[in-house]
Amino acid sequence: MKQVIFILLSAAVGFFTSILVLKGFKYDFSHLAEPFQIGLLISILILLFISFVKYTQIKNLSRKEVEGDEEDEVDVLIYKKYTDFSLLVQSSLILSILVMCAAITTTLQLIYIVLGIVALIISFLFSIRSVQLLKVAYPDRNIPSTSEKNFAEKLLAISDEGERHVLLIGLYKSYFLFTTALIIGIVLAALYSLSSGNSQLFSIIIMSLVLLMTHGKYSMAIRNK
Amino acid sequence: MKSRLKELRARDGLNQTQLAKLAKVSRQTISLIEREEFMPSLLIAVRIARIFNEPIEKVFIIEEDEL
Repeated sequence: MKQVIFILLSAAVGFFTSILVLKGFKYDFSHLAEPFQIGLLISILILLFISFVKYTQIKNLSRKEVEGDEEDEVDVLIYKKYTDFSLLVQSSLILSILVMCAAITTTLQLIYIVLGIVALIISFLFSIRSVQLLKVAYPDRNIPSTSEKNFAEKLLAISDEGERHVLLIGLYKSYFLFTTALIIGIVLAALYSLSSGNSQLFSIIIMSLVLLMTHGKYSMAIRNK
Repeated sequence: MKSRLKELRARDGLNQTQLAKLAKVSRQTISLIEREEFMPSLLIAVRIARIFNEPIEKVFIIEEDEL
């Protein structure tokens, strides 16, 4: 049933978009650039604030002296809060890049570019702290330092088989979501080119290359095993 | 595959974190095994069985139709 609804909705969206394009519908988003950047900056501020709250909560929880089932409950809480913290920091990093790019390509106002750079630096510092936080939350584990060579590989190497199982499921799902999202992105960029009169060919090529590279890397990784 | 991990932990007064430390795995792995969301490797299964001082087949129960 879910699939039928999804197919019907997709068909409806496709039908109405085709009608709009055929009727020569044009819409220019450039006048929305400034409110968009302000909205993004406010979102980044909120994300960073919540990240800081989570950071403090994780530190306090890891200092807590607990025994029995409560020890497990605290560990579950730390794990969930750490995952939230990582997501919030990654989101603020991406939004900071978006603010900067939006400012450079549209309004060219120095204030938004500077605020974007500041947000990016703070988000980056938070992302570095996330590894330190991992060491605080799990002091018994031999967590590598970010400055170490092959940090990502070493971080994967210290995880056990259960954690890798969870990672695999998460990565597999996100791989398919990523592929679908990029294909939708390519279609939307093509539609935007038609509706606004601004060619998005460059971004379409980049998105296609990213898709090709990702699929190529995945195929090469599994091919020789 | 079913496991008696929760029952045996309760018998020996161990929480998931303590069992994980003894089995040299993460608490998340123990939790996944208990919830039957992950089948451990033979190595980890043997380690866990030894902690409870039980034969492996008394800790991890494989149904006939799974074989």
